[in-house]
Amino acid sequence: MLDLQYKPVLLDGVVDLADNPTPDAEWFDAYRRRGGYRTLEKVLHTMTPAEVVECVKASGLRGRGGAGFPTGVKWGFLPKDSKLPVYLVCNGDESEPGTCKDRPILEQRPHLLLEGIAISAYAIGSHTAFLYIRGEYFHAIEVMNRAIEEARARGVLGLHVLGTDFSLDIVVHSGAGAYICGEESAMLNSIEGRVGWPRLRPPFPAQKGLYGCPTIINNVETLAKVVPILERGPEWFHSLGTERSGGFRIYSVSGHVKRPGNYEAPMRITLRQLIYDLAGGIRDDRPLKAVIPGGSSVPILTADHLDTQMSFEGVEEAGSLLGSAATIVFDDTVCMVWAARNMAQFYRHESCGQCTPCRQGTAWLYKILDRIESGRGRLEDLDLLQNIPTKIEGRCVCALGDAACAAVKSGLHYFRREFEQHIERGRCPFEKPYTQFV
Amino acid sequence: MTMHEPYYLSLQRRKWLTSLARRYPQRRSIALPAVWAVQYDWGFIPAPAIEEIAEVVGITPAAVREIVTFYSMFREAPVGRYLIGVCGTLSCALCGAEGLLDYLQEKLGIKPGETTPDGLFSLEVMMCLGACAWAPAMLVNQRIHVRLTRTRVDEILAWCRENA
Ligand SMILES: Cc1cc2nc3c(=O)[nH]c(=O)nc-3n(C[C@H](O)[C@H](O)[C@H](O)COP(=O)(O)O)c2cc1C
Ligand code: SF4
Repeated sequence: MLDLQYKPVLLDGVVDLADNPTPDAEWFDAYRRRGGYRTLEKVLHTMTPAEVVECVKASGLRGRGGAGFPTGVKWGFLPKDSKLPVYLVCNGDESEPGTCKDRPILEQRPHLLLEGIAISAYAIGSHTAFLYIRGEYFHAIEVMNRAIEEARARGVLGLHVLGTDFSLDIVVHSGAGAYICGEESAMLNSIEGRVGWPRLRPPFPAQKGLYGCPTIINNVETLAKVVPILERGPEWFHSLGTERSGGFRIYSVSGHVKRPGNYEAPMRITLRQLIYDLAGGIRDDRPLKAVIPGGSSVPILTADHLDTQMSFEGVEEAGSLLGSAATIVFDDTVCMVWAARNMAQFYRHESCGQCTPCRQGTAWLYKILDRIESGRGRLEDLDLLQNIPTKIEGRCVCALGDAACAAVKSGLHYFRREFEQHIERGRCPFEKPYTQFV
Repeated sequence: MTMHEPYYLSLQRRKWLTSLARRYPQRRSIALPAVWAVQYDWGFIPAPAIEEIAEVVGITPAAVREIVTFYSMFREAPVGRYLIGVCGTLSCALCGAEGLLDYLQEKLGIKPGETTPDGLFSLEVMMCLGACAWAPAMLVNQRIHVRLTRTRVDEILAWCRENA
């Protein structure tokens, strides 16, 4: 049974944004006082880079950005014999709808993240790391820049990190409003000073990434976790989660729950525990209708899936994906056509336009869903909605196209009757009280 | 080729960009920071600034124009003193964002994409702002406001008017 008394590690001391929208960051001295940068010190003085990689592999840590790729294994893909510099890119684009878990780390625990980046950079032999933060996170950008200044002034970053031969610079690169730049190869183009068009793979970034050099891209939460893993050991971390999903992670719970928020929990937690125990249950004690368990890019689940374990394998078994672990909760008043249209609008707006199936397909999905929701739908539209994804999926440069199809496909699968009712009645049958603003 | 005198990018900005460029392996990486710098100082990217940015970064004006049009936060026209960006994406939409947008339109008398005649407020619908657990949310210039209510919106607008 899961111990809900679990004490947060990354979110330790973090203030909820609802209580204080401009909380103080934990600055250098405060971080140092509670043992900060000791792990980096220990790693630099007593471990080889290869040992760090092995430790992260053994921890079972998998990427927290979306794809869930094993972090240590990814690091192991770097060419061993390359003369080129290696770059580390930390992905703080956080634009996947529902996801707001990197924000508290960036805004409130900047040095924890810097320590994680430093240990990871040491492990992969990188001397320049880039921290890409979405442009809308003005406060996070300011905090991270100031923390980097502090760390340089205290000898934690720069030419001789903590008095060793290891040197490291970390550069904050601000995005400017483009979801697609969270996709790793688009991010590389954005750092190079280009538009954020994803790149064709192969070559993979580990071979040929930023400026044509071997590059590792990891999410903010992934890299922050490297600190406790190295501090307390890979066994401790792994044992918190499951065999295939080591450790804990931050679940952003939003939508119709009583206590929306970021919950850090072991990856053995079930959807039911997350929604009912941590997030307090459904608002006004209404019935649960549907859940998106991993950010807007993954298929919808229903109340039948409440006992799903929120591990990578658990959510996959239920027919969805854990993605960014953003859990969006719908009560019984939600119109699924309305929700699918909202998602379609997002992907239509964010498609970079490079691949015809994605550019045209996302526009069509939106147009058709909009016409059904506003009562102008035709029965043939349902066939179109079913057909368009088959023309997008697997035919694009990046995963955005596929992501855009997830809500439509799963929405139709579980709630087809609702789509038909819109068309038959020539209007949306829902009152949608949740659209009211009070 | 004529060299542009520092105008849209002040001497101070150019110095800062030059020191920033040393931290990147390639100079063209300062393209986004350079565009940001113009937007900070001018509020938008005036068309004639494109050539100056191109020259400072060392890329073509077409490449700068591509960047300005691709990234949605870069603006080609001025906006009001306060740019209000309402999050319109799912988590916020499930918690009253549609009503919030209506309320702001009613209070300000403008639609998304417009600016009030006194030049004080511009309104926009933005894509997910990463404040999903604190919905509904809006960005006012650089600051995020969360868990909005009518009362809270009234306070924020009043504060903006007083501090304009
Ligand atoms: C359209 C799209 C958007 C993405 N957005 C993000 C993002 O905002 N943040 C993130 O960390 N990863 C994002 N990813 C995943 C990244 O491509 C990449 O897999 C991840 O940053 C790798 O880090 P990880 O292994 O630590 O998860 C996105 C992927 C796609 C296809
Ligand atoms: S799938 Fe869409 S977002 Fe991805 S590269 Fe193609 S057009 Fe761009």
